[in-house]
Amino acid sequence: MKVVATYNIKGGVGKTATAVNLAYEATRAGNRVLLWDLDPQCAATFFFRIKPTVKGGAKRLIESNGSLAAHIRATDHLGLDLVPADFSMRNLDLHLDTRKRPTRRITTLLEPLADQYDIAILDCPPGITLTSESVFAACDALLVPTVPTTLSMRTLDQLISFLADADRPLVLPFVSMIDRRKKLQRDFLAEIFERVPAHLPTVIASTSVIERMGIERAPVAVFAPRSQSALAYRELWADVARRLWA
Amino acid sequence: MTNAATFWLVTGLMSTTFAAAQHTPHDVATALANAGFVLEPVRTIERTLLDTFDGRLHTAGLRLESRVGHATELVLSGVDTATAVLLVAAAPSVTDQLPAGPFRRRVAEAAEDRALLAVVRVRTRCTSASRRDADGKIVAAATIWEQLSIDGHDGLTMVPCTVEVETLRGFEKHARKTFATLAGLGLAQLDHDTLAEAARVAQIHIGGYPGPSDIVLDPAMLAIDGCCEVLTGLANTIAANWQGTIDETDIEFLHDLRIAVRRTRTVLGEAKKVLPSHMLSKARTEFAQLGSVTGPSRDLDVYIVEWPTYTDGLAPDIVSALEPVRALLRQRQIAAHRELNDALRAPTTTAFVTQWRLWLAGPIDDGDEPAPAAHDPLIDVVAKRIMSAHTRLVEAGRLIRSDTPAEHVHDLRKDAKKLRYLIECFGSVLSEKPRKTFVRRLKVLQDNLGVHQDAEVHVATLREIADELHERGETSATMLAVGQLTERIDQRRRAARAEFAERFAAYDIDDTRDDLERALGRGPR
Ligand SMILES: Nc1ncnc2c1ncn2[C@@H]1O[C@H](COP(=O)(O)OP(=O)(O)O)[C@@H](O)[C@H]1O
Ligand SMILES: [Mg+2]
Repeated sequence: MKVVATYNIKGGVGKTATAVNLAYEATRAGNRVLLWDLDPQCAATFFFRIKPTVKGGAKRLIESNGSLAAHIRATDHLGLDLVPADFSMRNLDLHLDTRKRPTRRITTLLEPLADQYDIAILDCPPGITLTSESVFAACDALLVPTVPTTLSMRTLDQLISFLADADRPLVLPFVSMIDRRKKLQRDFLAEIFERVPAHLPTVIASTSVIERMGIERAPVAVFAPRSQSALAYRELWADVARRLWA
Repeated sequence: MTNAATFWLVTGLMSTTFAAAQHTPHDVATALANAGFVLEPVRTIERTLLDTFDGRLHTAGLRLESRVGHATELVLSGVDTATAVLLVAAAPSVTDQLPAGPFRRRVAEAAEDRALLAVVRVRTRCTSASRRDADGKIVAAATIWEQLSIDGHDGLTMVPCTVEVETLRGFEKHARKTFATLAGLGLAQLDHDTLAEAARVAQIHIGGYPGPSDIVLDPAMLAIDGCCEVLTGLANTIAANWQGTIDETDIEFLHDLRIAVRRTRTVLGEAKKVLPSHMLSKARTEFAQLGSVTGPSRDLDVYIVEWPTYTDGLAPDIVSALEPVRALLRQRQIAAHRELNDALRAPTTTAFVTQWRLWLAGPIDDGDEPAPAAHDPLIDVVAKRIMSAHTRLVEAGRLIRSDTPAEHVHDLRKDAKKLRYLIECFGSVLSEKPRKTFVRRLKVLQDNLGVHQDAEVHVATLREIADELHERGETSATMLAVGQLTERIDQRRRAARAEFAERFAAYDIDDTRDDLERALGRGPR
């Protein structure tokens, strides 16, 4: 089983939109997919219409005999399962901190599922925290949605240097929520393509279809299968799969 | 051949199947609608269970189904694992046709190089039904399958309608409620799925074609009965692999046919005192012939399949310089298959195989005088033959020195093979644990002999090909590359030969004989 996370130090950059749509595309490509919602905002859980409840809360999940299997819920799509989040996930860091090797915890929780799924996709809350460090340790790759602003380019640089050493995960940035009508953003595209060679070639544009996910509560390919955004997510998944199973 | 032993006992596939013998699909749909399910429009779907001829996916605990409607969907499920669904342009006949990725890798790990064949195919009309909660989340899902026909079994009627209920992870309670609804309606829960039910009705064995170890013999039965039972199993295997060999569905058909022929020859050779002589001599001639017509094709099949392994590690320019060699081998392979097919299609051959199977199926006519050991207990004859095969192997092996001519090593390989075939064919009358230990040791020796022989054959083939290419005036780059490849394979041969003494010494110990005696129920000396 491969493990990837959608991650960015910043919030509101498209992490959840990416996790949800890539999970769906990975499933359609014949994979057994587990999407794990780690964010107390529970947006990924919400998009699959699943109740945001973690039995026993984040505390029990993190405890030594906690197991992920009991929390898994089938989505409406065969092959795609989800571990929901709830508001208690805001305390994930606190509970992790009580453990001896907090950064190993997510790896340990995923291990028993290694034969059941081909890929786990972790939808992370923003920030560099104990949770994110535990995610870094568990991941084969980090998908980093990067919005076209100078500031986000700086945070990306920060992240890359933070993860530079040791056997940290592959960092796969891609451009998220771009408005191609704006020249400044088009220039940004050129800059990131030049400065970050590891970036994924597919660009996710800012579209009203993606915004509609909140109303439809489904991945874009479900309610707008022929939209440009659905196509873009499929291509983004193909980019990721190539890197993961190269 | 029918074998009712193993069908899908547990689907373990997160779905539970109910049979509606007395109800129409409409009745079931109404009941589900009343239970809050929303029904989708009816679709026509052709469902096919795919597996290799020998049921490798089944053995690996996997189930691969293709569903052809407007689109073609492959559903790969297994015990204790999530289900994978893949949209494809057409159902694959070999794993290579699947797109790269975990789906293909999982199928390929189980099927290896074998072709994916339709085990059973059912034409259905299906209605999907689901119940949602207040948020619009599906909490229960069921599919009503109306069986229209089983492919190739038009006359057969199976239960007209089945219902498959998904147990959605985290929503088990809702699945149980659906079970209750269907049971309340009077539907019976099956212990296997719809396609397995179709296979059962059509008497199709889902676990793949059975091997010789699936034949269970009684040690006390008459030797002649035991031998005939084994020969019957082998004759069935030969017949079952006949068409796939001719069609070249995959190369394993020829391989399995050839092994069955060789095993038959071994049994015939060892059953001189058991089988009536009038049948024996004819059968021995005919099977010897079948053995020799299948040889060249098989050797070339292996050569072509193993080509990447042979050339692995050679410089790319050498590999491309070898292309004329590969092309020539491929040409020969095609020619050999043509010749083989002519032989397999020849009326005399098919007539013999039919006659042989009829003879085995009928009451055994011992003639006026049965063969001397025909009525001995099977175990006695088997024990005697196996012990003497082992003794022959050991005695011949001890004579081999580093300068013994290669023919003697090849003969030793044949001896080892005979012993192995005997044990495989009559395995069920041996006790299992010592038999397995024994076979493990024998196998180590056989592997060494096998590598030696294969390399020797390949070197000889390469030398022949080199001559042919030389006559054709092939470029010096190619000739040089052939030389390199030959040297490489010859190195492998020499290494195997050098290793032989050690391998043989490891086999030729008291423990080996003790295990064999124990396997034969004699207890060690
Ligand atoms: N490509 C996009 N185009 C338009 N809206 C988007 C796009 N990606 C995300 N959004 C919207 O932006 C908001 C933040 O996105 P989200 O994926 O939740 O970000 P994060 O998970 O990084 O906080 C959400 O309302 C989402 O619907
Ligand atoms: Mg989010």
